[in-house]
Amino acid sequence: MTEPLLEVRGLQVDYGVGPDAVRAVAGADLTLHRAEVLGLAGESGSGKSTLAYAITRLLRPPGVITGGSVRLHLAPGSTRDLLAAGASELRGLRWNHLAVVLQSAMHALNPVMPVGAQLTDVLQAHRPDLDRAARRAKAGDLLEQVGIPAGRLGSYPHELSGGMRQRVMIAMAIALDPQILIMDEPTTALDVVTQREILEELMALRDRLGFSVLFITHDLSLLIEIADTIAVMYAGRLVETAAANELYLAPRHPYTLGLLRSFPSLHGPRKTMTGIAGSPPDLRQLPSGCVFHPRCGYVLDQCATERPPLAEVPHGNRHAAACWLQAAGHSPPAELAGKAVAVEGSPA
Amino acid sequence: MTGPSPVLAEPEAGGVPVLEAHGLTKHFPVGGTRFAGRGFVHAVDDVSLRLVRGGITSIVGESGSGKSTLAKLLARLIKPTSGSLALDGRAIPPGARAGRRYARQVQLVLQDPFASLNPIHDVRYHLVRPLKLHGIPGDGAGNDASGLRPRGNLDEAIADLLSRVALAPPEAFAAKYPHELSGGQRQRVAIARALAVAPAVLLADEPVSMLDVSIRLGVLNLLADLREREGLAIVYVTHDIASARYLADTIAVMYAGRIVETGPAATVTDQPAHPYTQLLLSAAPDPDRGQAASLRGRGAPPNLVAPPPGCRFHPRCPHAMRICKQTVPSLTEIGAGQASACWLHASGLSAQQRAPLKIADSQAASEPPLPHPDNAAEPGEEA
Repeated sequence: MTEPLLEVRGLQVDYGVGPDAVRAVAGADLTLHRAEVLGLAGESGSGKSTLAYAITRLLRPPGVITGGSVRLHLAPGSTRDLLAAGASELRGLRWNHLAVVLQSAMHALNPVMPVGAQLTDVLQAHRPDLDRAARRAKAGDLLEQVGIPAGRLGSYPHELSGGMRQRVMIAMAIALDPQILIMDEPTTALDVVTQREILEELMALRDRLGFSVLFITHDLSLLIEIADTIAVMYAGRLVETAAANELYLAPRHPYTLGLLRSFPSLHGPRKTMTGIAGSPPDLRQLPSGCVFHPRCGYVLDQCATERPPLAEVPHGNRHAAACWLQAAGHSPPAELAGKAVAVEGSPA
Repeated sequence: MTGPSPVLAEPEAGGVPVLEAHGLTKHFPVGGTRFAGRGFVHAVDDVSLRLVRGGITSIVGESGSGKSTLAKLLARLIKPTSGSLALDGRAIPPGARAGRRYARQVQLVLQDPFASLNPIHDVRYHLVRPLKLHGIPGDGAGNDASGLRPRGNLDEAIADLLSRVALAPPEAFAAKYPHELSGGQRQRVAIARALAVAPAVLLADEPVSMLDVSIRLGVLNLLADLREREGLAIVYVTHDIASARYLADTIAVMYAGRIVETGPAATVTDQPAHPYTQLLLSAAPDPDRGQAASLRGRGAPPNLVAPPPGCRFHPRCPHAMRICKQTVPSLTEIGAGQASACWLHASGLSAQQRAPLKIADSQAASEPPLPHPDNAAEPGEEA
């Protein structure tokens, strides 16, 4: 594994202050390495987008960061604390080092400006050395990089298809050659074919430009294909992190296992699958102990009273899970014991 | 088929289909009727379907493929431009009374349970309305003079409905308001409302796509259950071909307003015959895929105001031949229950007809669309 680029430690985000505050992210630890695709999976309300907004300091009130640290290691010996950064430092870091792509490109683009003008805007603000012609040329070049003819610079967002709008957002994000791309459900609103085309292009760009990606989505089956490492969130907490392949073949947290069993397979015999009983908790009234215990099929007495920490699991390869089953003295069931068991619904 | 699915019993084969659609076509005028003469969106063209008792048919397609328009046509929420429906083998006579009888037999569940329930009314209200409008099914005798059922029976009927969709305890749920329910619970209420009139056909338009991943299967399994327990014929409209494979007996793949392939669910996904089905499957997320996905085609669906001549997929098709641009292929049986609308499966074509279309042609044609294609291709808006 290459050296860490972005380190999130104990990050805590609340909505509101005082006794009514709701903790949306509770003590998240994440590490994004250079040129890595880190997938962050979770359902709605799990805090995955809040986490992204907190990292990029885009969080708006009533969201408040109440603890933890986010460190950006731009080069050896040059570390920036994102949570301590002031407005001007953030302005220098955003786009240059850290760019964001959001789900709804229709809302992220200005509908009354041609996309070319929006691309040159970024360059004008951050690359004052470029003149008008150079900016224009660079913008055209960026569009070509994401598979749109440069002739489309004059198009307005409504003249582009959903997939092309999202490509424009990606072009804008890579305009200043950042080291980190944070993508929040970038392809969720798109059809599968378009989604696949954009992912292919993103991966080709990553290989060429060497940036790292924090890819946030609810679609775990997609992450397993594209991510190097996956972190699974549930009710504001990271419950499992592991290499994508290991997480798929040998999940250690019952929630991850349940999620994997929620995606019907495209191959093999058709089997009855169960999903996960119950629904995600209300963050205002979190269950005691492990937040997942009311829905968990493997619940222990301890789970209702003590919150399990995210800890390295035995016989894992940089694999951590927040589950008492993995703690010393317990023997987890076969499907959570770290042996590469075939997930139900996949070919045996 | 790769063996029977334990989820689902096989539908009753043979007999008169519960609902049959023949040559359904819907063309929406562009920009509404005020701008007549600006052309038509060819949202659904010449679609025929047979729904049998206890069978689940899945309509799979991307946005703009016409799948939701088809669901609305089947529900008779919109009038077809041409084509006909037959319920239990009989055509639907004109008039409101026949329309109401049809609605009692064919019910629609919509995608968004946050929008399809009225936020100012409780669950009980949502279930009482169909019961009052259509009467409590299976019992004509107990009605009082007003034609309505005595209150006691209504409560019983509501409790029964809620327990059939696994919302327990029913008394507690009947008193709740939509905002007190999770997405999955709301969708169950929407399904219970559809069941209130004891329909023969349930049309479910993307019933789980707004729900969280972990609760989707619960709703899909409920649909499977209802078909098994109550012999409902179910139409499951979805963009997710993996879930269609899980739930349905039969899959019909739609592209640009036409059905391009139908067949037993596992056959269509395991041995897709139509190049579009192959493209769709090559793009679907699949953790079991050994190597990187390789897309079998490019581009975007066509503008449906002026759809491509011949096969509507030909501008994107890696196998396009000259004839594909000239003549619409019809759905042709190619194997056990599987049919594909593709000239590749036709025999007796001349060498000239088989001549491959130049890549340049197909590339140019697949250049994404000019202003409005999205709006034009989204039939929901006009409907």
